[in-house]
Amino acid sequence: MKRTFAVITLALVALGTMSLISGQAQEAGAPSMPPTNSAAANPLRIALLRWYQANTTTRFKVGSQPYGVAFDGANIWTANYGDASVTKVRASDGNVLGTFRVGTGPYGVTYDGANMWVSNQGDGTITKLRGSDGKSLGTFSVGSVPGWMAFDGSDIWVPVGGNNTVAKVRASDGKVLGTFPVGVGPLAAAFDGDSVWVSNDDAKTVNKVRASDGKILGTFAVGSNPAGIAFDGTNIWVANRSGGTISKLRASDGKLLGNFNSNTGAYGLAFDGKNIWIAGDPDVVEMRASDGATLGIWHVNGSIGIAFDGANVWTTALSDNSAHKF
Amino acid sequence: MKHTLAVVSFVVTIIVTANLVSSRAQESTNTTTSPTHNWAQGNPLKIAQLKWYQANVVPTSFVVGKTNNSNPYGLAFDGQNIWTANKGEGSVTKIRTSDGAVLGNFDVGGNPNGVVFDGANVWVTASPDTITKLRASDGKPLGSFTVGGAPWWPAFDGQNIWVPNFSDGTLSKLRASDGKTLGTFTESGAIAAAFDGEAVWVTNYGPNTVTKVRPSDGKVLGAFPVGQAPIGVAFDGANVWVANQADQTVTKLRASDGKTLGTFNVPGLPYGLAFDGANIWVTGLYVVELRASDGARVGWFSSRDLLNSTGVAFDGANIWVALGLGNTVLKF
Repeated sequence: MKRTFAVITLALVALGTMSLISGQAQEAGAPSMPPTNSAAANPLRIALLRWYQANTTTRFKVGSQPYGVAFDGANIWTANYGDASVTKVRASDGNVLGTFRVGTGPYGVTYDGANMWVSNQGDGTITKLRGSDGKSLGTFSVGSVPGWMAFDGSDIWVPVGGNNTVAKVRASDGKVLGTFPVGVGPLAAAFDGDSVWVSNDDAKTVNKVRASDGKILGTFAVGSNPAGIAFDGTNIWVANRSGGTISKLRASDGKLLGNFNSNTGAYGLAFDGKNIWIAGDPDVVEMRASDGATLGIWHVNGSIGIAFDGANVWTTALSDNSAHKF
Repeated sequence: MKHTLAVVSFVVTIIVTANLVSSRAQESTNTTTSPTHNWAQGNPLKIAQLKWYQANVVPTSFVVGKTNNSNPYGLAFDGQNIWTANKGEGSVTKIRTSDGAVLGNFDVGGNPNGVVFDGANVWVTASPDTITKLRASDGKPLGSFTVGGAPWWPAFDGQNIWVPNFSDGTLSKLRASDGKTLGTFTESGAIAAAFDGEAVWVTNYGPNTVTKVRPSDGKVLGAFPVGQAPIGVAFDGANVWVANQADQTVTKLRASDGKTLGTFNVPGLPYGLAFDGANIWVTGLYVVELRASDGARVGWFSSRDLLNSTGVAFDGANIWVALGLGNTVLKF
């Protein structure tokens, strides 16, 4: 036992030393080093020589008014609110692999490992598309104004904005397993491995919902008009659309760890392994997850949805009906 | 119970340590089941492909170009495919990394030397004096632009393409969106470029230096002496590495201030460099793998088939090497 502790201590010391060393290297050259270097830990970024913060030149046309965006392991999917379609774009080169008809007002897209789920705000349904070829496998009624969904490993969770509920839908066959009351105006959901988090657009709150039975485990105050939610492995991040802030809550107990200036009219959120990316109007903002520091701001009018593909961050923009690749 | 806890802690410690400081962890904990340098632990793509071993001793070989003497020189990865600039036949080849399938050979003319990816397009430099922009999705040419003489290995800084023009001794800056030349800067012997997130680094073959250039205005922030006849240049997240062909060394410089942190002997006329997250790969007469932390040689591949390798690129899991005198690329 003593020996084990010794080894652990040794290892911790080694770890500490390493971080000190790299920290010092960063400081020594202070002004000329990039503010973040998550690339060192991400082989995909290294392979793409993605040492720079972002690529501001790359965008690809999708359908009209793209709101939600999701990644399936190889492709980016956008929900095109304005033309009742979903676009599948290959992440590596931006090639459009298909455009698929769905219901009215597609708003969110969520991937379940094999299929892409689309919430159709205009007709209160969700559509299941096969990821490989976009074939429609079914459309299921969930209730009025479905929002951004989450997948918990077996079920799709749908915030139903018009009913102030969240619906649990079995991914295998689209059966609604339950409908649970949440706050007013539920808009987006995220899964943290145990619980589903739902942002309530009109209530300035988020709900933590137990995935097994839909029990509300907590209601936590955030900023005004909370929309997008992201989980970083430990914390829940919430974009307050009209509040000018991003809230960080500890997932375990919902404790508010901070409200950070978003520097944009925040809408969607994504985590890239190190930083939180905020889609908003007029800018996309990169925020360090550890302390909420703003690391970068890029002008993209009307950016809404945002997703990470393992190397690049993608955002949808209403201003030019495009998906932007950072 | 106490015993179990101890074992669990121990294992957890090993895992955590191995992830964060792979080389040290291996040495200090002495895990007998791990290979000597188990850098694959930090790379989920390598794990997914069961790439626990150092590399294939006999790499997989794929033919590129349309002729026996396509002479692939430069390489670039686009997230899914490797692109080769085929000096011998004026073409560029797109090859899928997962299975080596050739997805297209596209003509660009001249003698293509280098290729770089900008997130959507590949840019191919070709002697005598052009760079061609091709759409990565289908290889469609989007424009050909005149740069200086013998443009070699370019770099992308997030917005601009930087082209070292070897025979002119200049460096061209082109806007990636439309190919417009934004500046041409004096860079004697410029042959290869790399971007470190802030500055562009250019090797100067004749002057035996590497130059650090500010992207906004092309200002030279420093010119640092390296070995003789430097060509390949790569960034590892903190340091810049330079392959010195004539004196058979590789130089490691701190990117922040250009300080030389080490000079390592690498036999076989080192030419190209790539970083794989832990190690630096060097092409030339042989393919040599150096540990980035201390420059130690951790791999040396010297079969007859490997002679005269030039370009090298990492695809997130495997290393690709171009054989400049033949018509093949190798996947390690």
